[in-house]
Amino acid sequence: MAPTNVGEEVLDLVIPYIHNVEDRNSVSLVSRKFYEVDGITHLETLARTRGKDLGTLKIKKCKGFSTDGLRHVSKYCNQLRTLCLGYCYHIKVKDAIWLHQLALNNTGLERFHVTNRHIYNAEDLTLLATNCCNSLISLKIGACYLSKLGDAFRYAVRLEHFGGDICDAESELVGFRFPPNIRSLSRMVFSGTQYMSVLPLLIQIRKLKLVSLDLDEDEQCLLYKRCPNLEVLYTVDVCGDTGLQVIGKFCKKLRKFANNSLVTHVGMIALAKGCTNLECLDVILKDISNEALECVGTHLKNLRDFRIRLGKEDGITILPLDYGVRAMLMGCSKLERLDITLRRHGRLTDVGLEFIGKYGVNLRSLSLECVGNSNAGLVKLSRGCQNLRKLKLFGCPFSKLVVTSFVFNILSLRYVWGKSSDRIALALTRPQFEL
Amino acid sequence: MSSSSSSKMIELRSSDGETFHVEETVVLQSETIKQMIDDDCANAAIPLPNVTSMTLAKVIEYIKKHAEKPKDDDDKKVAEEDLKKFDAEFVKVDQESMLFDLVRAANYLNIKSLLDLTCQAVADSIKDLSVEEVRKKFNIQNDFTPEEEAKVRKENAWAFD
Repeated sequence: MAPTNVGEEVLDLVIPYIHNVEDRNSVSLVSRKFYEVDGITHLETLARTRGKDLGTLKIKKCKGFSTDGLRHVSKYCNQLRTLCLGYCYHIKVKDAIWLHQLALNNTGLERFHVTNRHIYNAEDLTLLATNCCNSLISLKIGACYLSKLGDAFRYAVRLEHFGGDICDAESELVGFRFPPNIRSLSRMVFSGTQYMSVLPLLIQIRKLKLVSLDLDEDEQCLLYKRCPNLEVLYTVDVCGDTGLQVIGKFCKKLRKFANNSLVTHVGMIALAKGCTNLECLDVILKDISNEALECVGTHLKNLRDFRIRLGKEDGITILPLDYGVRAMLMGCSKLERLDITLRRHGRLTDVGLEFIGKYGVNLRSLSLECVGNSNAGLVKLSRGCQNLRKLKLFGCPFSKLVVTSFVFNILSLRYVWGKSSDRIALALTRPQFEL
Repeated sequence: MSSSSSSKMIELRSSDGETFHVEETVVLQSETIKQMIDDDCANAAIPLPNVTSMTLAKVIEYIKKHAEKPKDDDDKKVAEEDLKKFDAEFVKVDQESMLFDLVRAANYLNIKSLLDLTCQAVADSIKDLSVEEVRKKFNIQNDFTPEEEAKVRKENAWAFD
């Protein structure tokens, strides 16, 4: 940067010598330029002073720094084993030297996750994979052409996890091979073309994250049938209940499942009966029944995290789910997180809230939407849930007064976030609670 | 060439035309001048268009002091203490503009220890100042909109928590 006056020139030189956080903050507010400089030098200070000791650096959803800052990291931090720059889409891109330098300086990188496609290129990724071929086990990037990364995958023989939006056409993937130990594929955009190249691999895949699917029902079901070792599946679409039935039948090792497309209680029952190792379950439902919730309680004894949402396209409204929720909580005694989003009132009443209080013994996080029918429900809930730390309430018919005066009866509770139907937002932390 | 071991003198010329004669061994503390000497560009007076005579005199005072070599180990300890005292006194200048000039000169002449010393002195002088005071000290215009400024303040409130 070209300083325009003496003061700017001096301050520019002095910034690395200011170590007090408050003073740094004052400087970052002086002008736009120093806001940016401060952002860069924070990284630089970290890299220069602690670079040799730094094994893991993860920066997520951050802005205010540029590829210059990353250059300091790649220059000083040559012992890095993990570098994750997740969802940093506002990095100022000046040049690609940082990655080239990282590839040259570092031979022990194990995890490299950079999703912003503007700050890497195929040549330097290949160089990195070559130099770190004995250590690299996880590579996650944004948009990419596998055909241009062929050499990288040939060298990185230890690679187990790959994530990236593959942009290749089918013809370009002829001859492409993933490394032999690959067992996790994420950020996958699946259409017919990439699908064919991945199909033979599926038997060894344990984790699959699909962000976009362009497959017909038969192709999707075949995909799940080929994954007998799948433990984690996040998908935007599951082909409705048919898909869940296939998964329940073939993916017996499944532990975590999240799906963004509508299914019904029929599919959920099939999944719960089939995948009894499930620990995390996150589904959007067209309809839900007490029977399905009871089935979850009966079969999923290891469930820790359960999230159900009723979708906008509502199916048949079923009776209050109070007793289903009770059966689920009695069965899933390890449950730590429960999210119930019902969209319309009357499906879980004050009785259900009382059950959550009474049987949600191990719950640490609870999120409720359109649940309960009066203040009494919340008062009853607050008599139990003795391990709850976080409570979220959306569109529930509780008065602010009752929320503020009763929920902190739960001694473990630290944090309440609420939004009632009249749009009053509420964010509370326990009084005297210290971070 | 520059490699003679006798105390060869180098001539430096400040921006206002004054010349200074300094021993080569002393002046080598400046990476910038060392480079010039290595490149054989130091046969005539070295022009330093960015450094005034007042500043240059101070810089020379500093590098001369730092070029003194202790005779033995006992002397070394004394010399170290002495140098510390000298440094502390050196940055106690009457006018802040002189300190700024020294920072710029140290940067231009690339004298690492002097840059560290003067920058740290300026950094210490910022301690506990408000944003407005920092702006005034460095004569910098605030180009944030009130909304942007509020946003950065909010960001800072979360930083390092």
